[in-house]
Amino acid sequence: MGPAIVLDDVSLRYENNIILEKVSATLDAGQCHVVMGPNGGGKTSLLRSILGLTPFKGDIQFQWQQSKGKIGYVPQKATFEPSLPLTVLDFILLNQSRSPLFFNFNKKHKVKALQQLARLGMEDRAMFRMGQLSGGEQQRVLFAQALLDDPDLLILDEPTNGMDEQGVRYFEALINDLVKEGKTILIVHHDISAVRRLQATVHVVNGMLLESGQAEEVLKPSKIERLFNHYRHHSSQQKSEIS
Amino acid sequence: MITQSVISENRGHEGYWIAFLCALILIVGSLLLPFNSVHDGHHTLAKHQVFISDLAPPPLAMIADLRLAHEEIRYLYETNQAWPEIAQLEEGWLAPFVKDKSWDHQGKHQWLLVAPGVYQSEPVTDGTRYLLNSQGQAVDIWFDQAQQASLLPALASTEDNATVLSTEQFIDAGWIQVIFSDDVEETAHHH
Amino acid sequence: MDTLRLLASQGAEAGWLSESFSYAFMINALVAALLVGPLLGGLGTLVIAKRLAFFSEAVGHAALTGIAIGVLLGEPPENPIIGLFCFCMIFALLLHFVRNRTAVPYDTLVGVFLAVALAGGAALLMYVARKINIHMLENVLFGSILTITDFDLLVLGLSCLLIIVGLMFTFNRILLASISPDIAKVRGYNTHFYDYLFVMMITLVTIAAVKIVGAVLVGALLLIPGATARLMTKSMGSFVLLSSFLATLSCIIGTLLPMELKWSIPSGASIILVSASFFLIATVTRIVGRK
Repeated sequence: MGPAIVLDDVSLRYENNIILEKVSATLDAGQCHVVMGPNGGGKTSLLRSILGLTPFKGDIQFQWQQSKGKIGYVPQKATFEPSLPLTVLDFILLNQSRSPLFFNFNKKHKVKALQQLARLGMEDRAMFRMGQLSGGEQQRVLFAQALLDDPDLLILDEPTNGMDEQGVRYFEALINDLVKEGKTILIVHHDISAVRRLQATVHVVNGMLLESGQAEEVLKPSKIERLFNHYRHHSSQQKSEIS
Repeated sequence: MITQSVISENRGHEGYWIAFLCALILIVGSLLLPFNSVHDGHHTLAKHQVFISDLAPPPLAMIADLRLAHEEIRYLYETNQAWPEIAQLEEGWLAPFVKDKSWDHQGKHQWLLVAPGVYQSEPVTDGTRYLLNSQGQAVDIWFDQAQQASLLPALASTEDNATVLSTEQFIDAGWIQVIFSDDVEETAHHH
Repeated sequence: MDTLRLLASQGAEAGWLSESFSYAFMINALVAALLVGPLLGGLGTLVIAKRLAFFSEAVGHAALTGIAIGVLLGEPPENPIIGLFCFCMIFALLLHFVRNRTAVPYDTLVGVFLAVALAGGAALLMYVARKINIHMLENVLFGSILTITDFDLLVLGLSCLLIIVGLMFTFNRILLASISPDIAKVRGYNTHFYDYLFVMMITLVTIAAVKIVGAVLVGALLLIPGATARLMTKSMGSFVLLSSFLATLSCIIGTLLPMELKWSIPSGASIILVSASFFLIATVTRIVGRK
């Protein structure tokens, strides 16, 4: 069972830029939560803060039902240099074990890695270089990596960016399965129709938490404008284009 | 229910760790340094030898002059295939042969070419005698503070190139050899 | 080691090994090449992955200053290992630390450190060489296989063993931390630790190889075999193995060839030239193959 996430007065600032301010919320366990908002509004920063990757202030807590579980993270993108001979399989194996790639004679690892890739439909691309894949295909591999340890909390940052239809289908099917298994899922998403399909709790973030609720309520046509415009309510703010 | 707090990313500790590591490296390094030092003292000297670092200042000026003169003499020898005469060195303003004020000050040494490449000095006033042996590539300087060494006679003629004086002859005559720290290193590695 | 040298000289006499093998220093040099070559190649792949080529150049040049400091502090000129180790390690750690903590662009920063290392090293080394032994200058700059003692081989062997064992356990994590530090951190890996550990491994290997290749070119040996292998392999595992093989081969050929041909060029230069010719062949083959 996935954890509930409790945020208490979370804020984040870098030098003169206030990215997030006074974010307090409780994300229920075992639910799918979607964070939406305009570019530069702090969505990614919120996700990264929850993962402990930023110097945020305030309190963030995971409330696990039984024991501490695993966390899976699918970042927005990772730079894969095209000329580095890192194959898809290599990348998954890197995440899987310590057993170094140049000394890895363990068949079991390879089998498990290919199984994970198959969940995303990427097993026949296993010997391609990561740098040679399209953006959407790389996303699928990043997703496969996140699922390796069977995580109870899955955090994804714009996971379907650049994905083709087939990828999106794999993705949505997996998310639904995971929710049924009681995992907590947190996604930053742009695609409104996809979000409606997911039947998730939507949180609108733009420097602060504007609203949380069910998709039908939060994504009413009158409110959709908020998802694309910068409205910061502090005069000392500068519009920053960091997304 | 187990509550897990998310730790904010704090880069402060990195500096402390690096400072600690650097300090550790320096401490370990300074502890191990004595084990890897070259000690001049380990090389024992023969009775007829003395370290330049053990000499008092007065002879050092003469010895420094002789070292430079040695380079010049070797150059002249190789260019002309003949050992330069004292007169030639005087005309060339080469210290300590040229009779200038510092020559006065050092004791008005009279220089003689006693063998091919070997120059011997005799101070007018009582003082140390010097001997410059330029036969080899490396400079070789001997001195005699007590005026006890037997002087070698001047070369009869410069054609007599057959006479090659050996180190033993200097030792037998009672001269003391100056050992420079370079010599110690040179004999230590075989080049 | 003695048995090895005995075997080699017997082989040379018997005729199936060339005459060069009867020299003790040659056997020492070849053993050193076999020890340090695989590591240079292996770590070189990570240097390429992490884009630290310029950084390893700087550490190589810092060896100049380290050697000079060691000699100034009274160490023997052919083995100033403490000064060399301490200076290079502190230099590398500080460089990486400043890189992490300031906004100065990476290549500018490394350029500054490299210039300081080179200028400081050149000044100190010239001073020291005049005082002590001018011949050592060439050895320090371009390597000298003649001066590898049994003690050197022992130190070399131990450090190489240490690094290989370390690499077995940390290779994957170091690579992941360089590709995606975020994923690594979420997995619970301390990316700073692995970064610094890698920096220390690079420095250790550089120090170990300075005697054979010289301070000016040692950074290149971390780079060229990896760059060559990258043109020829399809996966990370074979990348590392091929790079190690090429580095070792370059070291061996570069050491043997001048002896065989009786050329008096410094070992560092010949090793790098051999390595570069492999790179050239691989590049040309690639270009021609594409047509």
